[in-house]
Amino acid sequence: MKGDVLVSFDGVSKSFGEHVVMDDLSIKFLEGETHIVCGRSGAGKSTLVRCINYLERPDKGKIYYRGLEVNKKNVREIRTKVAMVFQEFDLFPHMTLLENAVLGPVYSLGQQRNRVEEQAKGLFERVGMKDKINSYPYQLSGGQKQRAAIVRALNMNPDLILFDEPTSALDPEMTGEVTEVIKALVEEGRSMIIITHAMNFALESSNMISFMEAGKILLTKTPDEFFRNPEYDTIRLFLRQTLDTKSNAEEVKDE
Amino acid sequence: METAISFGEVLISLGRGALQTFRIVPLCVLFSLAGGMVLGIVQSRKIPVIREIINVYIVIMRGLPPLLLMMFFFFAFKLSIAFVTAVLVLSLYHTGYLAEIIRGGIEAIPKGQLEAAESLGLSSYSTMTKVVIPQIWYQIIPSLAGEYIVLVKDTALVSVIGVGDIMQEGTELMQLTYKPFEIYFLIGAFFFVICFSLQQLSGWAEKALRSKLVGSEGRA
Repeated sequence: MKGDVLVSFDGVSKSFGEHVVMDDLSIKFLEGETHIVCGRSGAGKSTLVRCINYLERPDKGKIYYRGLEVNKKNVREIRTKVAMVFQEFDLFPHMTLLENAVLGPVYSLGQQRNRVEEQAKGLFERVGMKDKINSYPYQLSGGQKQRAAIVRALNMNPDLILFDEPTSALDPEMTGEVTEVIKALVEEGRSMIIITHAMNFALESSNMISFMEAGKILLTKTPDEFFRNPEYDTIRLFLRQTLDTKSNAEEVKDE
Repeated sequence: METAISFGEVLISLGRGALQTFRIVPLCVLFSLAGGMVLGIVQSRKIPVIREIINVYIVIMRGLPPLLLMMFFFFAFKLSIAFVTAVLVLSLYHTGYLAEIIRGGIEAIPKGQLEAAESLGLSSYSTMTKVVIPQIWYQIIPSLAGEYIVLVKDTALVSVIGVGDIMQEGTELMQLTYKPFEIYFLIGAFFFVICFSLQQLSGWAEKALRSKLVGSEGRA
C-alpha cells in the first residue's frame, strides 16, 4: 500500500578496501514514492541501490525488502520483484529488443512467452519504439537503448525499479527522451529509487530526495524543502553545480 | 605409375583411410567440445579444490605430446580397440585446450551482462545458457577453429596404434608402389583442403556473428 515501507537500510556499512562507501547507513524508501538519491561521485550512491538487489553485499547491517531480509537465501525472490536499469544499459547484444524484454519473465518468472511478448510490445509502443522490437542493440542510439532497458525492467512487472544513473552515459539530446519515459512512470505512482545528478529532473519529478556524502545520508527531504533549505553548504554547492538553469540555481539561497 | 596398382586403386585406398579421419574428427569435436564446455564453465566459477584438480588435468594435457598419450593409452592401459583409443585420446587431449579457450571466452563477457541477468532473477543455469554461452562464440571462434585444425592434423598420428587412416593406407601404398612423393603429396592435399576449408569456415562464422552482435561496422 502507498506509504508503506518498501526498503529499509538498518546500520549498513560497506567498504571496498580502504574506501568506505556506506558508513552505518540507515534509510527507508516508501511504496509509491520516487526517491532520488544524489551526491558527488564516489559518495556510495550506486553501491546503495546495488545492495538492494544483492549485486553488492553489505559488510555490516541489514537491508529489508517488505520485511524480507536481503540475503543469499532470498535474493532470487527479491530480484523477481525489484527491477534494475543500469547506467550502461547492459542489453544483451545477441538478442533482439523483444527477446531482451521477454527473457526475464519467461526464464525467471516462468510466464508464458506469448503473453509476455504481447505485454512487451505494448510497453515498446508506450516508449515510442514499436518499430524497433526486432532490432539488435547495436542498431540503436544510446537513448533508445536505455528506453529498451526500461521496457526490459517493466516487463518483469516489478514492485520497485532501481535506476543507477540512467542518463549519465547519454548525450544531452538523448537524456530528454529517457527522462520523459521516467516522468511517465512517476505519474503512474510507481515505486522507484533513482540515482542521478540530473537535479532539474529531481526537482520536477521526485517525491523525496536524499543527499549522500562519504557513505552517509546527509539529508532527506521533499524536493521543495530540499531546494529551499539544503541545510548544508556542501549540498548548496552541489546544487549550484548541477542545476542547469539559472532560475533554478538562483533559488538555492545562501543562509 | 608402373606398378600393379592403378591410380584409381590408389585413390580408393586413400579414400578408405580418409573415411576413418572423417569418422574420428566429428566424434573428437563433439566430445572435446562437451568436455571443454563443462571444464571451462566449472573453471570460470572458481570453485577452490575443483579448480585445482582441473588445472592439473589441463597442465598434463598441454604438457604431453598426443603421440605419447596415444601409445600410453593403447599399450599401458591396454585399450585394445585402436579406433576407440584414438577418439578417446584426441578428445581428452583437446578437451584440455578447449577448457582454457572456453574459460577465457566466459571471463571476457562484460560484468554488466552478468549483473543484468542476475537482476532479472535468472538462475545460474539460465544466465549461462541464455546470456553467457551465446555470446562467447564470437570471441572464441578463431581459437576454436585453430584448435580443430590441429585436431585434424593430429589424426595423422592414429596410424601408430594401427587405425587404418589415410596415413596408414599411404604407408602401405608407398611400400607397394615405391612412389612416396606422389602418395604423400595426395595425403598432404587431403589435409590441406580440410584445414583450409576450416579456416575459411571460421572466418565466415566470425564475420556472421560479429555482424549480429556489433554490426558490420563493428559499432558496439
